[in-house]
Amino acid sequence: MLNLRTPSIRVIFFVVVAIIVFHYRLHVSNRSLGDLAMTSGWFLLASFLLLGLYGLRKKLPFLPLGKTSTWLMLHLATGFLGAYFFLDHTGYRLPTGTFDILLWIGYAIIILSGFTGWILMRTIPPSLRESMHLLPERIHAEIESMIGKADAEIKELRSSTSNSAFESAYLSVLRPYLHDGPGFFPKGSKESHYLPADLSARYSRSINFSQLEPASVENRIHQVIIRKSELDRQLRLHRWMRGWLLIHLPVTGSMVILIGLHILVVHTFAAGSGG
Amino acid sequence: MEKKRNPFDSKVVHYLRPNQPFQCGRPGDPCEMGPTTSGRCSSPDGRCNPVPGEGKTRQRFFRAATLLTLGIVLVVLSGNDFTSLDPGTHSSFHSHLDCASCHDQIDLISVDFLRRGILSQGEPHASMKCLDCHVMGEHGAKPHSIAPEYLSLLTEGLSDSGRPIENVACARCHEEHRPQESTRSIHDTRCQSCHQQQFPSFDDGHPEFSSTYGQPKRAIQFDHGDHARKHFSEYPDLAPESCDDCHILAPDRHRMMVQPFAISCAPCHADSISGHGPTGKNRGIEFLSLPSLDSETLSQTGRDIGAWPRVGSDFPRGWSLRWIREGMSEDTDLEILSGVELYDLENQPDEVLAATQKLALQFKNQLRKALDSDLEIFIRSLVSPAEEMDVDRVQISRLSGKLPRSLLEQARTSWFPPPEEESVISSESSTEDDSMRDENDDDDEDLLVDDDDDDLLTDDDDDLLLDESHPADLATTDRDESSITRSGGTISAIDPDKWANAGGWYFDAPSIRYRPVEHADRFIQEWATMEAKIGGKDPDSKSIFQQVFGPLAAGNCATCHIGVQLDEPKVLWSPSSMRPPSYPQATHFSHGPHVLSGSSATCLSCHEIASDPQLSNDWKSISRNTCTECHGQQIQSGCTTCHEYHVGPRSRLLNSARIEQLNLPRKK
Repeated sequence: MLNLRTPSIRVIFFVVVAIIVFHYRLHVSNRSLGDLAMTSGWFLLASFLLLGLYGLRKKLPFLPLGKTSTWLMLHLATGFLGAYFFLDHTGYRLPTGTFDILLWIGYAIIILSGFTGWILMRTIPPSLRESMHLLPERIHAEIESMIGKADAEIKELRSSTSNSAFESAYLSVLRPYLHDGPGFFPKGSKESHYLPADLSARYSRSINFSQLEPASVENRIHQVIIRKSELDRQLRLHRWMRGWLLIHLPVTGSMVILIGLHILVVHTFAAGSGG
Repeated sequence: MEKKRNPFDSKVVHYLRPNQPFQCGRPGDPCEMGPTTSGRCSSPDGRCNPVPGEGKTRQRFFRAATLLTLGIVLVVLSGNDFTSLDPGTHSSFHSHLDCASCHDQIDLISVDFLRRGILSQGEPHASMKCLDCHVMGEHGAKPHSIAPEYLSLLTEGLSDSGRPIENVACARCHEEHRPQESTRSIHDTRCQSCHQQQFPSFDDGHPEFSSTYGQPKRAIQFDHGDHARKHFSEYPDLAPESCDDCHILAPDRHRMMVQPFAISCAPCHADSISGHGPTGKNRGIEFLSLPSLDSETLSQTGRDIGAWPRVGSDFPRGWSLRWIREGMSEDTDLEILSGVELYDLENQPDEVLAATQKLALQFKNQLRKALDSDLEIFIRSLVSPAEEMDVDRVQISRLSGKLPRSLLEQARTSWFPPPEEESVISSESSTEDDSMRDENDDDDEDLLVDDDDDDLLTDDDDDLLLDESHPADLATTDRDESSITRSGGTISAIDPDKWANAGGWYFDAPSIRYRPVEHADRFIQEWATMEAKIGGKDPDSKSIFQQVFGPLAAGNCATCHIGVQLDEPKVLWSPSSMRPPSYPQATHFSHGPHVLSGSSATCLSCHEIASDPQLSNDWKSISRNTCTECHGQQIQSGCTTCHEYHVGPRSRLLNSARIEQLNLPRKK
């Protein structure tokens, strides 16, 4: 569920004022036979730089420059403004030139990845809070610990019974799963005993889950499987929550270069005053 | 329900440093110190394989993407390939052009590129490149493509045009590399950058049209209502059925034209030009005329002027006066003679007699000079000095009306016959022709009625043209009741004006006359045009103008052609002569889209006949409401729908090829 915060009055005021100033400048430019694309371009560049300040602020956490949440809110508001300036600058259409298309796509990726990240950041944490969750850095250690406990259970089972069916299933199916990574998309579900579908089929041939004794080793191992599945889910959500930045930031870096070139080209080749 | 807290804490895990760029990569048993900030294992035996943290990974992605992009950009720019920076497709008009056609060619990796990009606003003469192909005239880059001084005059008091009038880059309005938008479609706000009177749209706030819009200055007087009410009902066979019987759309599909005279007017009005019909004037225009002088009194007072016929016309006027004016003193001679009846000089003071003698001798002198020179010189002597230098040979040809020299000689012979002829004429005129003169005015000097023995038309014995034995000639000799016998010969005494009913020059003593029978007679048109322009600059212009274009002039031109007026700098002969539009023409209207089939509009959708017709127009003016019934609703109504920005006289020039470009082999 999307958990939106109500934007502060100051942020709303900032957005409204920025839009008014933008349109006023366009109006002035229009009245003076100015180049409207140039005017909107400068506003777009300003919003781009302002968005970049948020990243700079994170590099300087020791400076008393306001709360991070305020900066994030400002970053989001500027993102909305930037999207508006971008659409106005491009005339609400896809350009036809190769370089311009590249710029358009790049900026669109930044905007879309940013808003996707914002939605993920507002959606995933509540989902994580629904269950006992760990810091992602500690999940690997947790899983290692669980594997150790499961191995110990299997050793104990081996010493107490001569039936090696479960041990065999553990070694061939369950233990590889416990060592497997979380992946990027969900693999298991309740119907597949929290195992990936292919493993679940093999696992079910050896174990009848409906008849497990609550105090049995098999049941305790299954609880470990369920816990692993939950930790995998948490890891995946963390990956999603952070993964968009691996698109957002590198494309921003590319766009810094491309925007700089765009400004040079426009100023070099755009029709000037007419001499 | 309170959830169970995580038992996993720092007491259990040996080493975690999520805020560091690298973490220990050894599974299960991370070392205590962890990797260094540069990502190396701090353990002496180097057992670890440090892995980058989340932030470090993002940083690596960021740097890689930035450097990769920078590298690609530099590689592309080093190729100096402008197409890689192509900002978009050209408009269809410019699809054949390459970058260098409009932009300066500079190296993409160069100081100049950086200098221009960082310091300047575009190419210094961007619009000048446009003007290489789009020839817009001397002031092409100026606002409205007209001279700033002229624009200042036009806009005086209309705007706060305190701003200097600078060049306006073409791209300010015509945006290229946007194929979805026509480079010719200009947004209204572009206009409103200077035009301060702003309004939302054409149908909301646009100023009302002028009170005469749709009522162009007329060249032809035509009362539609009067014709429809009266004449068309009287002559239903000749009446038009619809507007397009007289009006047609011009080939350019913009203007409406009046059908040629032969189609629209001639069926009813052709006769009035030739002198026939109820309004026709069957007497030609008096071109040159011999004034009547009291030669006897002059002779008795010792101011002999030689032979001078007793019968002449009134005081010289028009061409005749301009012809002799050259040898007269404006301030004295002509002023002295003003109001004097030259045919009776008895008791006139000596100065009048002297001036009259001067006038007579000048007349003779000019006639002699005319016959000794050529037609061009003769006609130039009749052209006002104010205009003479501007008259070319084509005009001279039209002004001459191809006057035959023989007619001038005939006039000379009639006015001043050789002595032996003069005596005959004098004696005859004193004895038997008085009554005939009364009946048939001014026929005395006509060669056709002269008793000259050599007259082929009157010599019964030697008449080569008249054979009385021939039935046709028998009819000729019998038909005319006015045939008279003079000096033993039979001649036709038909009125020369009547004889000249096919038009052209003729001599009707004492005048040389010209009679138009055809519409748009070149002789009359040229003289009327010239004298109308000269107007008050020449003392004889008004008289000549009245002779060719007055209400009583032959041809009846003035009845319809109200666009030709004395002292009017612009002479409008026909509706089409009102085009091309005067400079600058900032508003345009195209009839084509409004009246061609497919449109439900008819002529009367916009034009409404006036209940109180004026001489200048019998249609009501077009109001803005007429247009807003469609424009501003479902039809476009932008400024440039009706208004032209480039109003300079040379805004559209033919892209003409040079003859050398034909590459034809030279003839040996």
